[in-house]
Amino acid sequence: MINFILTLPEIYLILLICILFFYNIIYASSKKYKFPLLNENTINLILLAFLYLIYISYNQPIFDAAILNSLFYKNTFSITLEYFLFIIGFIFFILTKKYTVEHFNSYEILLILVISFLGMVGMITSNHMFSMYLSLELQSICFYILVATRSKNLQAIEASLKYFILGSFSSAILLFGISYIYGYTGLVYFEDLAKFLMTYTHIEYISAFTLGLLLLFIGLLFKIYAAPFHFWISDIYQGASYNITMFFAIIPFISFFSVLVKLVYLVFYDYIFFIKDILLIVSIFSMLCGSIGALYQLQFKRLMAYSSIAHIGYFLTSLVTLDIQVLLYAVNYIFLYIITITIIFGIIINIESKKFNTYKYMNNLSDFYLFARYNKTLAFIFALSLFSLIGVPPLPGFLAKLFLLTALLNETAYILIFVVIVASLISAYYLLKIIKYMYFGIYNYNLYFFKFIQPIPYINVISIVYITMLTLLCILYPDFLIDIASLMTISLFI
Amino acid sequence: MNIKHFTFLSSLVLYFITAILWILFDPYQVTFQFLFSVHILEWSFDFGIDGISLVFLFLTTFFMPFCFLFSWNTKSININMYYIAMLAMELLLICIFITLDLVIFYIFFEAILIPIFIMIGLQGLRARRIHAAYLLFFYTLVGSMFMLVAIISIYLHTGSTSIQVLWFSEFSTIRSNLLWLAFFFAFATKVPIYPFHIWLPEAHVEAPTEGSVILAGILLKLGTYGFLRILLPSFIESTIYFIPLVYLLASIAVIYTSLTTLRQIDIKRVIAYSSVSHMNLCILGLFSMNLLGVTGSILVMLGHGIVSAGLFFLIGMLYNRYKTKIIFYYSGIVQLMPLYSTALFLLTLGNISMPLTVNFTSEFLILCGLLEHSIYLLVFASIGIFLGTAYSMWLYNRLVFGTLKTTYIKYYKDMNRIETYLIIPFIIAMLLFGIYPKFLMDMFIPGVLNIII
Repeated sequence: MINFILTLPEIYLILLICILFFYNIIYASSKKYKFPLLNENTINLILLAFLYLIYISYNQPIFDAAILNSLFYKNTFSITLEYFLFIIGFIFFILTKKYTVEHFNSYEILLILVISFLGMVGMITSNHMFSMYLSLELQSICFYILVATRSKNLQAIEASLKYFILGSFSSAILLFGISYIYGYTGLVYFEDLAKFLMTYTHIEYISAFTLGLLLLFIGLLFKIYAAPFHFWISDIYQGASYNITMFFAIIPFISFFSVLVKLVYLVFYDYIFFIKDILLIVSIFSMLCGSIGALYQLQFKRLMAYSSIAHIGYFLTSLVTLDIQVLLYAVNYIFLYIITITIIFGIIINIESKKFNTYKYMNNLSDFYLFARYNKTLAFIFALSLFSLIGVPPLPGFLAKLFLLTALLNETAYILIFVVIVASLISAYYLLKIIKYMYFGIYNYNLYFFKFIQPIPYINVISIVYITMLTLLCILYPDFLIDIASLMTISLFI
Repeated sequence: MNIKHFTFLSSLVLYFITAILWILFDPYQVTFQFLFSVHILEWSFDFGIDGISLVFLFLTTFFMPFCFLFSWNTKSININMYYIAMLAMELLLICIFITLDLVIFYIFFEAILIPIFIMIGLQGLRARRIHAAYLLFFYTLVGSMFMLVAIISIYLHTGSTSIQVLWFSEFSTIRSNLLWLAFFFAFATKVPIYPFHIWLPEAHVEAPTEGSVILAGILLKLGTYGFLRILLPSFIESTIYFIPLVYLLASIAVIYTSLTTLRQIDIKRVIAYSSVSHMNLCILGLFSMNLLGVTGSILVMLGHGIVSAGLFFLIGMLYNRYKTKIIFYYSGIVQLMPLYSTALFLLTLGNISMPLTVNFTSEFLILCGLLEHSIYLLVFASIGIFLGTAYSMWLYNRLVFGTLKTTYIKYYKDMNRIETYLIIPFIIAMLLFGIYPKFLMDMFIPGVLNIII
């Protein structure tokens, strides 16, 4: 019974996938409705289901329990992350509804999106090397297909092929690492591994175990495009259609984050110092490569790709210092970062100009010229979000950066502090560039883009404004997010 | 009532409140007055003023109504946003001057970048303005990042971010020196001291008149205010250790910038470089660490604020008429613009620190203070002051005397009523504080004594 109660969101998600599948097969092939391939009802159904999912995961009993033969494990950490995942998914489907209906004529994309959510939930709750790997693969395979949905575009085909080859390659490395660890210890459950490593102190530095650890982490860092393994992500962002780019920018972050945190803090905590130097280098590299690489980008999507690499570097500092306080503030940082990115992409995806049935979105930086004149509210929110990413006080991004710096300084990680500061200063340059174009653009520029601008759905604007106001409330009430983050991090160690 | 009226009225109300504060203020009390604290959950942030912050509060609220008045009749697309940015700037400045907490100080110190960035970017006319706004933003951002790290480090060391706690806490020599350098870097970019001064002339040239007035009048004083509030009282040993460095940089700046003014072709650039020179003189006075010097430098801040703000207003009037700031196009305007020439003459006298103006009093005090340290320093400072006279008279001569250049400018129009009434308070304030500075000095000398000893 306890299995049933605790897995209710997952069961509901699987049911949702089945229902969507049958509904769409029956509905899309009905002669009466003239073979509608995709319509708004499907998305409305998903939205309704996600509301219910949020409700279920909010009301889940919070206690630590292993479920389904200990393949999965639920505690405050995973339950909170699931809850956050569903909320972000709900917002994602609201904001991209119009775009999806306009640009896709098949229901499969929605199905695949929902299936990838299943994979992510599995990753968040996984307690076994194989359950983690299989959910990761479920998610990744969905992603390969999602990138390829714009099948008539050369860039999209290139991107999806690149993603598929590199993704399967990194999965292989990951699996190789898992097998090495299994070969050395004979264990695959997270808890068993943790207990074993806590008591067994004779592992040598040069051993198969270290190699396995290294390969495992390289595979995971490849997946979250940390710096030396980052070169493919900008192509993926560029090739994918806008809603998929938004999806990539905000949602996989949560699942990979949970897996990395669990592996570092829960499983390999006593032996992570074997590869600590490598993690440090990766973190510094990500911050610098992300922020310097973004300087030369002329397209917004590629710029955001590099910016997210830099932010992954900020997050990786929590894995390097191995301090619970840094982790707490990194969690806080990630919450605020994801919400800010959601707002930014939500605005980008809703501003479209249509001329003779060809849609255009703000992608080249020159498209941003005098955006502020055409839509004051959204431009203001956009500028606020960018200032928040820079970390200008008194915006929430500043709070996140302040807390992170405090925790790092407490750990006396001076190199990391220096790199964080340098990277955030460099990233201020390119983010300010966008604000500059929006507000001070060149006056005699041919405003081709905004001549054909389409009206924006009322509900999208309202939801963007509400999310912004909620994030701004974090300034007045910073304890709200920190309390949640501390509950999550504490639950990891009990 | 539209936004224009609302912002103007609220700035007047703020000035009125400051006047009442001045009346209620007890100058013989050494500690902070009107203390109150804001509680946000478990943190509480203290606010309060002493004589020094009252001077700056007065300066801030004194300028702002004139800034609103100056652009009273201009019509522009973004004018509402412009007014809101100015009012926001005033409120942020007031918050900086009344806070007694390092974090709040940092937050508002940084937050001021957003309105000034918008002001310069929106209202300037040339494409170069964006470069200027960028320079301003980045110099301050880079400097204050180090300040942020220093503040966090202080918090971890003392367990509090209150400035009053910081005054009485002890640090090891190395840590204290590092903290000193971090704070110095942040404030030195704001003042600006010699190697970090590039952003200021750019920002002044590209900013609208009101932006220049606020920049020269108040924003530059944020750096020196930070020195007074945080650096001097908290890290006395480190200050004494680093004094030769500061003296070197500041005396280079005084002479170098004064000489640089002589080869400028833009009127605003001349005034901008002259304000760098004056502010560095103020730094020399501050780091003389005695009563005379520090008192003099606070008076320099006040006097330079008033005089340079008035000069920027006057240049703005010229610019509004003829849309150029290049000295070459102007000559002999005394023949057709007598009121303007008189006002410019009086304020130029203020700039060269003529007796009876506040600048004379203050620079005299600074020279007296420097005499205690070194005779060479006195010589450098005096050369700076002398060069100030040279470029000011040169500029005035070029603009006002000579023959009329009717090839470039056909019609001359003297100051109208709004502009005349706008400039008179500046002249009165300059003369008043110059002739009888005692009532001002009585107010802040207890605070200064509090800092030095």
